[in-house]
Amino acid sequence: MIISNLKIRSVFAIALVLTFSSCCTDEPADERDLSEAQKEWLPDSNMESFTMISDFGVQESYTHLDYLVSKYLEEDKCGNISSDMRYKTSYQSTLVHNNTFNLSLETLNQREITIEFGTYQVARYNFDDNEMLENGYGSDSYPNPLFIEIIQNWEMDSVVYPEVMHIQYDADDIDELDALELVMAKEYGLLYYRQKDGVSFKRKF
Amino acid sequence: MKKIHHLSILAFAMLLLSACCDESILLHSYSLTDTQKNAVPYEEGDSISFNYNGEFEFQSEVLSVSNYMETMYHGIESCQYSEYENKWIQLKSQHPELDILLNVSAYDNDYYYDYEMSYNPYVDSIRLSISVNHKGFSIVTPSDVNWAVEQFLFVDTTILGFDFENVLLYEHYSNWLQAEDSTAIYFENLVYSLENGIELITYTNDDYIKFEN
Repeated sequence: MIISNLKIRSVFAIALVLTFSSCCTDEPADERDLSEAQKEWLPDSNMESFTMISDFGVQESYTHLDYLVSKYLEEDKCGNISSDMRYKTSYQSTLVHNNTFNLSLETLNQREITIEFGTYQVARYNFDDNEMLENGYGSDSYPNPLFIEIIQNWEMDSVVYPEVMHIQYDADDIDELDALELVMAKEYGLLYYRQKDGVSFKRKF
Repeated sequence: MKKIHHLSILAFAMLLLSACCDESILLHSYSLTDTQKNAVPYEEGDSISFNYNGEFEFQSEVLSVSNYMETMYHGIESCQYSEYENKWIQLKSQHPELDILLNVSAYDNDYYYDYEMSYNPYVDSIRLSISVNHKGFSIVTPSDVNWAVEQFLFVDTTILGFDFENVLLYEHYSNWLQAEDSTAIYFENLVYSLENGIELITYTNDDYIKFEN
C-alpha cells in the first residue's frame, strides 16, 4: 500500500516537473513588422489627393480619406507578448461613386499587401514568398488577378520608377469599366491603369 | 383590487387597438402637371450627344424613364396619407463615366393646400432634382429673389463663355462643404433647359461637358 502511494506521488511529481519545464521561459517579445522597404509601398502620408487623366483627357481625382496604423497584441499562455502591425491608407474618387484606391500592409498572417481598386477589385501579394495570394472573397464578384509582378525600373512619360507593382486581370473575369491592368509605384501609389474597354488612365503630376 | 387590474389591462389593450389602422385613408393624390411631365425632354432609349471640352463627342443613353406614386403618411401614427407622383429618368455613359438621375416630383403641389385651401404658388413649379454619379446638385437662386416662392427660377447665365437663356442653374453640394484639397477636381455647376435637358456640366478645373445639338 505504501509502495503504491509512493508510485502515485512520484507520477504526479514527474508530471508537475514536465508541465512546468514545457513552457514559460522568458521569451523576448516577438514584434512582427514590415521592413522599411516594404512600407515604401504606401504613398507619402502628405499626399492629400491625386488625379488620373485618360487618353481622352478626362480627369478624375481621388482624395485622402484616412490613414490608419494598428498594432495587434497577442499574449500566449505563459504571458509572452507578440504583436503584428497593419497600415492602411484610403483614397476615394471625387467624381465617380464607389471608386476607391486603398492600400493595406500587414503582418497578421504573413507580410503582405492588399490593393483595393474600383468597387470590386482586390489583389493580395505575399512579400515573404513573393507571390500572389487569393483575395479571400471566393466570389466571382471579386475576381482574383491573373498575376502580380514586381518590375524594376519601369518607365512612364520619361520618368523611371525604380520599383512598381503590376497587376493583371483576365478580361473574362471583369466588367467593361474594371481595370484590366494597373501599375502602382512605391511612394506614389497608383500610376497607371487600363480598363477592359481600352481606355487607359495615367497619373497626372 | 383584481378587478382594477383587469380593467387597466383592458384599457391598455383598447388604447393599443385604437392606435392601429384598420384601413389607410387616402386624403389627396397629386399627379404631375403637364408642365412637370414635360420638364425632362428625354425618352427611354434616346441617345444624347455631349462633348467633353469640345474635344471629343460621346453618347449618353437614356436607360429608363419611370413614374411611380410616392406615399406619405400625415404623421407617425396617422392612418391618413397622401400620394405624390414622381418621374425618374436615368442616363448613363461609359467615358466619361456618368450616371445621371433626374427626378420631377409633385410633392410641392400641395404645399399650402391643408393650410390655406387656396392659391399654391408651388403648383406647376418645376421641382427637378439632379444627381451625377450620386453627387447632389442644388438649385442656385439669385440673392434678390424670394426663395420661398420662386424655388425653381429660370435665369439667364454665362458659364465658361457659354451663354444660356431661361435655364435652371445648379451647383454641386461640395461647393458648400468645401474645403477639400484645391488641387482635386469636383463637379461645379450644371445648366438645365426645358428644351434640351442638361446643357452643361462644369468641373472645378474648368473642364466641361456640353450638350451637342
